[in-house]
Amino acid sequence: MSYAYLFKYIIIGDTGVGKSCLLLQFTDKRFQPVHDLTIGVEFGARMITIDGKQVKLQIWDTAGQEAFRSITRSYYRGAAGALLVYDITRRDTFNHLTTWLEDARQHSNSNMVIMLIGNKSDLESRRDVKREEGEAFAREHGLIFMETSAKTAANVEEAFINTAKEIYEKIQEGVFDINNEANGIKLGPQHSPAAAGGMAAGGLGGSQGGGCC
Amino acid sequence: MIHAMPLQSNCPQPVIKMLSSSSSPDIEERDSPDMDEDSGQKQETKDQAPDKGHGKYMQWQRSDSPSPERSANGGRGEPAGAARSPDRSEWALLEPAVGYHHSRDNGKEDSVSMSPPAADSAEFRPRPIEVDLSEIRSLRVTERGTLCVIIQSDGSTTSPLRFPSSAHMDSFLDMVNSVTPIVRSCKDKALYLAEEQSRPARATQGTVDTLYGFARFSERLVGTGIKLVRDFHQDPRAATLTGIGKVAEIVLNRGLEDHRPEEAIADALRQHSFELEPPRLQSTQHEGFEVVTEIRLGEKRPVARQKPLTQQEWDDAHDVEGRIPDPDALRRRIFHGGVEPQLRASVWPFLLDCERPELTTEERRAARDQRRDDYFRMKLQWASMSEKQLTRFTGLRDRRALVEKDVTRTDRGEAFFSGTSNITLLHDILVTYCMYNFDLGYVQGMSDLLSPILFVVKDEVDAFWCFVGFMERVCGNFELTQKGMEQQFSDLHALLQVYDPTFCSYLDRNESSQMSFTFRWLLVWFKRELDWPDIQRLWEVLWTGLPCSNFVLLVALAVLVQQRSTIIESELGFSAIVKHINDLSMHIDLESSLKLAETIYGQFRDGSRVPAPVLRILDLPVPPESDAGSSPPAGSVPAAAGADPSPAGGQRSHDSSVSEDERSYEIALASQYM
Ligand SMILES: Nc1nc2c(ncn2[C@@H]2O[C@H](COP(=O)(O)OP(=O)(O)OP(=O)(O)O)[C@@H](O)[C@H]2O)c(=O)[nH]1
Ligand SMILES: [Mg+2]
Repeated sequence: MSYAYLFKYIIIGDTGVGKSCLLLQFTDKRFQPVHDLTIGVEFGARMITIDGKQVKLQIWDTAGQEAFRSITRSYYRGAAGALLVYDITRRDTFNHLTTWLEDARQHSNSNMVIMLIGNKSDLESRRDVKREEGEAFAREHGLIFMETSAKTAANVEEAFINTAKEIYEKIQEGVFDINNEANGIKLGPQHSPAAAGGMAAGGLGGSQGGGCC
Repeated sequence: MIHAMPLQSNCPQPVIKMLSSSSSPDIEERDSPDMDEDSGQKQETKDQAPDKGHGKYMQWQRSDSPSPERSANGGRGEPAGAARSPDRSEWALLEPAVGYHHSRDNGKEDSVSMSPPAADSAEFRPRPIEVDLSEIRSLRVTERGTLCVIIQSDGSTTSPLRFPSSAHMDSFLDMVNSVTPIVRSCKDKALYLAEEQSRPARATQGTVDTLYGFARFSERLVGTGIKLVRDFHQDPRAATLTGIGKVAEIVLNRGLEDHRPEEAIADALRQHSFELEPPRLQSTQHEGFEVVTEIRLGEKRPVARQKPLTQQEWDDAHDVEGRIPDPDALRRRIFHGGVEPQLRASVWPFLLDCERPELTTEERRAARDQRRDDYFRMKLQWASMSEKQLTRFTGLRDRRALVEKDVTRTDRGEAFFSGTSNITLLHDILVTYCMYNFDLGYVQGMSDLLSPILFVVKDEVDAFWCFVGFMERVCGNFELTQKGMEQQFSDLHALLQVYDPTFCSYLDRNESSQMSFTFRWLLVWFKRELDWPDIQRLWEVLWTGLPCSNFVLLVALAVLVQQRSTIIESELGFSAIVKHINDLSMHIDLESSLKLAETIYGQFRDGSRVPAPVLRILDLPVPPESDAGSSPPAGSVPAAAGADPSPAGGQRSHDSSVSEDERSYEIALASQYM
């Protein structure tokens, strides 16, 4: 479908934290624990509606293994948003956030919106990182924060959509230059204020699934 | 990504619909998700119903009814273009199952099911394929007008859509054309370009812009003579030299003196479009200045592939005592045709240097016993470690944890790996490999390399030693520094630069000179790009080490250059190239790519003035005069590195203390493979 904007997202974080599961939950609304580990990058896409405008999210799901870090860096290029994911049941994945953040800041454009995600919130009994710790880290580094579960879908929609809202607001404020594709934002093929405004879509944050890539 | 499934008459037939929110004679009006009633999967389609956009788009929806109804457009207006004529009901997706994750068909050739089959596949509903008409960049029509792939502006590439005849295709193209004007590319007859790209002004725009750059560039080249070439020599990938192919066209075809104004050069270049093979440049250093010469590749000779090696041939390759007197001939034979599936378990250990050809049957048995002992000795080293001990062995503990996490995410879609027992074998072999090669340890991707081997040889010990042989060839891919991968990227770039300078410069201009989009291809030798039988075929061909140890790069080159016009003419940029290459997964024709790779090898071999570093990548002899000051062959792996016979014959006393373990292990194995 035609969209008003296309945002490029990248999902980063240690191996096994559930990046691919989050993506699949968001694009397909299902949890598939049995799937292949990611090598290089895989893609997902979905259309959402923000402020009555169709926004297509093109999502790059990267591999978390340390050896592949250099290849992952090349995928930051032109990303408007990043989901930085750790696993609340594994402290080491939380400890590595600083390195990930350094990488992200260094290899992306400075306006990239970063959302910090503590995943696997359904595993409360095995929790190893307190919610407050995630919040504190996010506050300290100026990130948005959420705990999610790719398994129960809790907060998954919100994580992706809130990131998009933040990007959208930056566009409204004129922070992002939408004519420069290096910012990870592209205007839709048929974008015109009239066309986008004429749609009967819901308000900010409304969304429906669909849109295979 | 795509579940490859041959279309059978009794399997669910997808239907094709065209949908749009704006009325148009040929396009169905979209107004309610309920319109998918005919598909018999109302619930699912509702769930997955896309936002009601404001553009025109097509949707391919899988239907579960064998003869789909086509009148189910809620009776509104004309049925969709696809559904109007009865014939068109036969339009079908070649791969009906479209999902996000990598899965493969289990019903093929030689898959076996030793463990309980995977989770019910019916649970995974294919999503409809949707294409926004305004997003179409190009359509590639092949197989005499019966197969169509649609490339969108973000590089998204659909599964091949199969049409019963070219007449159907024509009407389909007509229909697309009525919404989004398309024209046939004059450079690639299989390619139809969406009007926006093909309008004359637009078509040449990008080219002309860059050409103005070239013109200035070539002026500089003329003015300052050789400067440019020196840069090229020092860093063939320098961004400033992205136009080298084009510059070569003008400057070399016309001679360095031919100084033309920008306009004229741009004009000339416009006429000399992509399909012209531009000359290839090489520079040689001669005391303070450089000489530019034209590289000529050899003639493009088509090659034929042979039938796979048969049992008879394999038997004949052995002498009475069981030796293989002429292993090279056998390797050549396998290079040209592969191996019949049921023979693989015998042949692979030979290809992977774990069975030595000069041994008799008797000696081979002894060697095998030795390998068995060695394996279980190494296995025991980790298997006998207590939890407490592991807390002081974090190097091992962490690797084990990683292996554990990964084997449960390796080929679970294959029936063979859907249960737990074979997953446990994967785990044990990989952890034992950590003990065998602790410096390298375990890195992601290795489990992908092991799974087909275990599947084929079906023996823990043999699989381990075969895996060792494979790792000898590819361990560079898994270094933490990723030097091996970087080297392969730059080798591939160097090959492309000589083989197809225009395409190479296109990639350079689009921030893709690093070639990192081929990462997965090269890391795990196309494991994620091919279906299960093809992986096995490709790997046994590559393991022969023929005609050169880096043949995988030529396979990559062959696959890549088959995409050149799609990429160039659809004007794909960095992100779209990565996406397009990713989407090729499960749509690569292996046999034709192998043929092309071999042909390309011949062209390099028979070429003249091919730069020495490029010759070295391909293990080709370097003529003495061109040998000046070039670096040693990079990334080349010894073709036949012997499996390291690790410190032989562990102590017997040791063995007796572990025999319990071993025995139970072998019993477990035996029951699995009986
Ligand atoms: N309980 C629970 N398990 C999860 C959740 N998300 C992921 N998992 C599990 O964690 C495993 C790893 O998830 P993946 O999505 O493959 O991890 P990844 O981050 O993509 O890992 P790499 O591709 O290796 O970088 C999966 O096999 C799931 O079983 C979650 O929200 N809850
Ligand atoms: Mg993943």
